[in-house]
Amino acid sequence: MNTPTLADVQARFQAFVLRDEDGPPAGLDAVGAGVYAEGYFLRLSEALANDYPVLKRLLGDTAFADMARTYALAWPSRHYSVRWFGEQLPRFLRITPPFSAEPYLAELASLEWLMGEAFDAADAPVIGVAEVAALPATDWPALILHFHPSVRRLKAHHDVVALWRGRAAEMGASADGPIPKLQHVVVWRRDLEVYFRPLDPGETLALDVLEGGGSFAAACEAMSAAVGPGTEPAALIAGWLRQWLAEGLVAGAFA
Amino acid sequence: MTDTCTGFGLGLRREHYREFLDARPAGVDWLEILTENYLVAGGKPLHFLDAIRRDYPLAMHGVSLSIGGSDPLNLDYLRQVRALADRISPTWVSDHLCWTGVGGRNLHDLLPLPFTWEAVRHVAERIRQAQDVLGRQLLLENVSSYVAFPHSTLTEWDFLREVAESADCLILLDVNNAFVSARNHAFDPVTFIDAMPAARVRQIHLAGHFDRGDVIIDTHDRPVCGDVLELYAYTAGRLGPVPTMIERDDEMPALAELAAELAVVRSIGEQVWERAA
Repeated sequence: MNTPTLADVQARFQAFVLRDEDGPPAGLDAVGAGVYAEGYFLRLSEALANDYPVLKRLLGDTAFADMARTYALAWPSRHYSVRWFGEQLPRFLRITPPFSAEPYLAELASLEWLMGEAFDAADAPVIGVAEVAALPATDWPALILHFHPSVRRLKAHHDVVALWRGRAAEMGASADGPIPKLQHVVVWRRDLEVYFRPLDPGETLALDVLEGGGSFAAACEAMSAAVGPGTEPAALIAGWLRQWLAEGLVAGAFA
Repeated sequence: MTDTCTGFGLGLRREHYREFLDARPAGVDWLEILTENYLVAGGKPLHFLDAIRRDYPLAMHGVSLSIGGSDPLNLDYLRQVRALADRISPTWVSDHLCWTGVGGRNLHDLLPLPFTWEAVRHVAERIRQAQDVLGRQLLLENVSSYVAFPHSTLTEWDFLREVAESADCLILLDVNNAFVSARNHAFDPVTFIDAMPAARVRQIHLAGHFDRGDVIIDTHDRPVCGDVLELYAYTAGRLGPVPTMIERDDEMPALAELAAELAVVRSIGEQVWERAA
């Protein structure tokens, strides 16, 4: 028998670990090779549990481990760091039965992934209410906001905030899952800790414009168009802006 | 700030960030970080890393280099490792003499190489390339293994030595891994230790393993066992005071418990060196 090349040896060994082949490559001890095959799913399941602790609590240990195995087979890691292995899990849950039948699972996973992104996103100083209060009133219409690099947004069709909080506190949720409800969520990091909260629909609209680089005046216009006459969009948005500043969402304000 | 790792160290794990900063446990001279945990943009990991670097010399230990893999080296990864090294000025940058995946996939495991001359040439060439990007010598670590390839033509210790000499790299000798592989492949770990080129061994790892009966597995989830401490005493006698540390990754105890375990390792080393002096 010819000596196999290094590339052949590695391709065959990997195919065995990834279950593309039934038995270990010829000549290898089955018990020892099994250590690698078993370890593969254990390690990746642990990585997912680290990224999705509340999803794991919701599914239970056994169902979570089964799900992790299916995911690892469907979407093997392609990144040098295991930190990114779980990135496609929300998508996997959205399109893969039986998880796709309960769409709040993918939404909960999205929330947890965004929390992970906020956790180690780039650093930036934030500005407070005082910095913006110091701007002359004539600057406000042209005001552009830069948000902190950790800010993430999620649009869900269930109350994922309540679902996360309930499960994180180990409170029971109904076996049927949460009630459908449109919910926008903002996730961010402040002083090294990650926070999230649901957004008011109007606040969501204002953030859409301002995060997209639109001015304060443009946000007011978009709100007027959406809610109709009789509202005071400038006062509403100024109120939210004060809250974003207090929460540490804003890294800069420029006129 | 002392700048070089000497003496005895521990792996830095996030469970102990605060204690390292606030309590400064006695007898921990330096810390080793897992490189990949800090290849991120910002937030807690880098915040604590920078703070801890003010108090401790650091070593960087990676798991993703795949120096033995048959895919091209990941230069993007290497450049990020270099940037982190530029940030924290570690005493050493190390990874493992293994491969982690091919075809663009990563199995996130330290997979075994066949010990052949083809592999020696392949790995040595890649080490030279990696060292060029990093601008420094790499330390490569022997891994625990559970299979042996029948077409290997060298022993593991000859393979490691040939690679290190051919690539002119340094060695991180994991005494527990030598012990685990020795048991799993029925060789004498003393032969392994005796074959190490002393001038290239710059760092020593110790860790706990799990004896499953049919195979022993490198788990880092328990204290270093007596047999491995005995092999460490032998290694310390042969190689002298090489900086030594304990790796612990699972069933994480309180820092005081790890520091106490490290004190035992220190006393073993110091007794050996006193007797020799």
